Amino acid sequence: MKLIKQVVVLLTLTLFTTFTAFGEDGVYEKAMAKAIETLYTTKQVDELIPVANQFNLIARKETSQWLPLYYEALSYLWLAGRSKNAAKQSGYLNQAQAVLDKAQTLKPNDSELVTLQGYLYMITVASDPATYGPTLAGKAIGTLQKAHQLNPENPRAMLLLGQMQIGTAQYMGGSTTEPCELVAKSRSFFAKEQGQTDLMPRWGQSMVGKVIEGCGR
Amino acid sequence: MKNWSFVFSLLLAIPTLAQVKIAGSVTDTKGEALPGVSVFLKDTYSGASTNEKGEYRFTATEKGSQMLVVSMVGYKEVQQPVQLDQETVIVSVTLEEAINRLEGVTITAGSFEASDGKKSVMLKPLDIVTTASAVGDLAGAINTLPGTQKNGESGRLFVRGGASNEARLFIDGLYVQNPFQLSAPNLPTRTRFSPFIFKGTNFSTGGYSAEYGQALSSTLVLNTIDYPARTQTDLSLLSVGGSLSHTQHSERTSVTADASYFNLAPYYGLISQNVRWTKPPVSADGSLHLRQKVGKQGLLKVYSLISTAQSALYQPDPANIDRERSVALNNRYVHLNSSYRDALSANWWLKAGLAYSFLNDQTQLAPAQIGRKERSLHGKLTLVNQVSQNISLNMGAELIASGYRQHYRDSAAASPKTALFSENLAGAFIEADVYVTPKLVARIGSRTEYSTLLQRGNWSPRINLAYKTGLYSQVSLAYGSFYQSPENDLLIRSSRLDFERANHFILNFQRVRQKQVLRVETYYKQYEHLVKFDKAGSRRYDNNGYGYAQGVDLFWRDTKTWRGTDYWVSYSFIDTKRNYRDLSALQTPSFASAHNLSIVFKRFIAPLKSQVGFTNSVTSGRPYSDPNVSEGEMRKTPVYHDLSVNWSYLHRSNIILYASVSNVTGRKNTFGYLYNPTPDETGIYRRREIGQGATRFVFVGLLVTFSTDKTANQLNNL
Repeated sequence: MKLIKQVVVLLTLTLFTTFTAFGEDGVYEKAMAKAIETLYTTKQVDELIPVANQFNLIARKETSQWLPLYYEALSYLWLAGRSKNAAKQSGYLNQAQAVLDKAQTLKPNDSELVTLQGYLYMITVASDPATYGPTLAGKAIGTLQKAHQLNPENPRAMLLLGQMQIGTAQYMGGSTTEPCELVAKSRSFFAKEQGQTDLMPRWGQSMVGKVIEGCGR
Repeated sequence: MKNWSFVFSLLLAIPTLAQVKIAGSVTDTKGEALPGVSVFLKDTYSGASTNEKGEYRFTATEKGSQMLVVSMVGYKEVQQPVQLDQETVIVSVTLEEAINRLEGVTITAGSFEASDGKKSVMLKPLDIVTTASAVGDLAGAINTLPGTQKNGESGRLFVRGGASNEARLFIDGLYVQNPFQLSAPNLPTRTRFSPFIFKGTNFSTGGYSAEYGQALSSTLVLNTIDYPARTQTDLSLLSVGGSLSHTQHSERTSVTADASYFNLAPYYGLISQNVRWTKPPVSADGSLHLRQKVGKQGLLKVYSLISTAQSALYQPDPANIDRERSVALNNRYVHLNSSYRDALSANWWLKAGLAYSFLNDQTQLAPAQIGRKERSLHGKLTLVNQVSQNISLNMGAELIASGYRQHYRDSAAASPKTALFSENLAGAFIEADVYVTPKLVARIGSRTEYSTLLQRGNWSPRINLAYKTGLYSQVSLAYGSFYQSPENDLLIRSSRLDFERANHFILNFQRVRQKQVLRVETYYKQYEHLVKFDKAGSRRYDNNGYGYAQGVDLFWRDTKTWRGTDYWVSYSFIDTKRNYRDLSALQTPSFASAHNLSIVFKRFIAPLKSQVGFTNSVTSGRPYSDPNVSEGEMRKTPVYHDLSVNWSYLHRSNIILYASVSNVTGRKNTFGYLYNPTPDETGIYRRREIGQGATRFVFVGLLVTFSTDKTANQLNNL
């Protein structure tokens, strides 16, 4: 009996330590994967806040990782984009910018982070075109161009840059051919990403169709 | 078997024992549930967010002493030690609202801010140039705001019963001497500075910060663009001239050079004028704008403007209205404005500025000739300290050294009379913004000045309070005393003058909700120590003048009701009287009209790729004294009415066509009368109307932008 007890204790202890040891690397990936899944699938605007909180929690623990900050900023951007209340919207945008600043000090000149910065400008302009249009529309394009240069294969940079340029061309008159080609080109790069299981950004593919629609006109 | 079951139960029990349930609720200081709050154990993965009822629940594998973090944007984070030695730990927390400068209460009494950095602004930089009646002139756009009294024959700013010299203009915190172009008597002027160089304006109709002095009625604070976004070339071809501007942009340095030339001769040749011009206005301007980034956060901006202008015309002679006299103007102007700002540490900011301006005017009011030369140098050093989350300090010192010289000749043959003075004015100020609660902010300031010319000093307190009464509304109160040295023309005549003084009392209500702004402001302004002299022109000058102004200003702006449509309505009522300068009794000054109404409308029509707009301004009659009736009895001019329209068309992304017409109805507006100094044979003083220089002003412009970025255009210029 004593033996069994000892075995059990030993067994549980081993099990426990294995789990803890495993936790040191596996927990981050698991927690991230789960939160990313929720971020991509959630339909309710309100659910984005707990998601942002979750990324914030991970970012606080993993101070050298830029991805939790990237996703936290993205959560706030989507909150801002879907929010109807102007005061809340600007609060989310400020929060997104603060988080993104932290991420960019960790990883300067990263195409994904620069794309997110451009996306932030886009959403800011959309929130109040009269106020932000004159100053930020140009800045958004410039930032997305930089993101595209940093990684010419980043489909999100192509998509958003194209979307911005199509919008300006339609508003001001001008050719949409070039930006439309760029958006179309993003399709194949989005396709390449599919099925990959790392934690890198994978969003955007579903927006391509809508943006391309604007090209027919 | 029994033992095995023990083993299993132990195995099962370990995880349950190892996990602690943590639950509770989070509320704000009023006891309202807070949803979306993040609650977690510090440096772990264990945590959750609160639901709509403010409740949270999560399990943790951690044991013993841990730190529970409760955090939410807009609230002060709470860290609370917890002891995880029970199966369930209940922790409920109250979060205190953090002071949020962006959405929180702000100082608003008296001020109209136009900036692209903030949301809750009344006016946007773009508005200055898309307002139909303004034709790209800063003062023209500001004149559609409440608190201003429109004076069509002047074009300057008259605020709440104040004369035009009582409103002062600042660029990047520094005084601008002579911000308006020289114009012939009773013909409107324009601001010298292009509105395109500014990112934000703050127009204050009273109760302004202790940082600004030498203004009795109003400050118009303009901030130049920090850093342009790209290299581009802009070309403007206008019906009255043209300009070419180029910005060379790199990571740390940006230079803009601009040259403009205006000549109204071809336009006056096409469209008949009510004024007989012998030399229609011609002007040439050159400006250079340098921005240099210094270190991590430092920014140096240097702006310089050189300008020369000439014009000549015939005007009725005030000595005998049946005759005309020749009037000729020749003006040269230089303005240099440099400012530097940098962070000294995380909580200290430094701002330093130096401005120089030089003016040389030669005016002929035949037969008299007047020459004016004015120089001024303004140095200013400001420190900003964020003392704590709730308190910030703004303090600084400045010195203005100026010199003024006037030559006067009765006729070309007469010997000139020269009058001059030089002045050193030193000023210092300190001001604290204190957030007493997230809903209540107080700005308490103090300013002191000393003038070597007047040999006097002054001290003025400034107090502003703002209290948030609801999610979208707030009430503000302001009090302050304001000093200003008498005008140059008075200072050269007497050396025994004192500062003129005004005391402002302002009560303001503001509601900003979903792109709709409502502002109601009421005020009382007391004038003291105004300069007085008697009509006969004796040498008696003193500071015994006084007066008051009181009224209500209303502003409503709505960009929400109709899609693509933006309009605002401003209305001001004023009751003001003064006994000053050569007046012999308390009278309403001739520049103050009791009622001022402006309606500004703009609409973007997408299928036409056009923005159209109009401005409708109505001003009640202005007082004038008629020498044919007993002295002291004031008469009023007819109502002033102007309807201006504008249209801008985006031909291509970089080509914009712009047109505007003022006074489309062709109404004949009268601003006042010029009376003969002596009665005619029937004993009547005959008069001539002071009217508009032209019935309408038609303006057409073509704006082209060249840039490597194909989407760049001058939309932000329109």
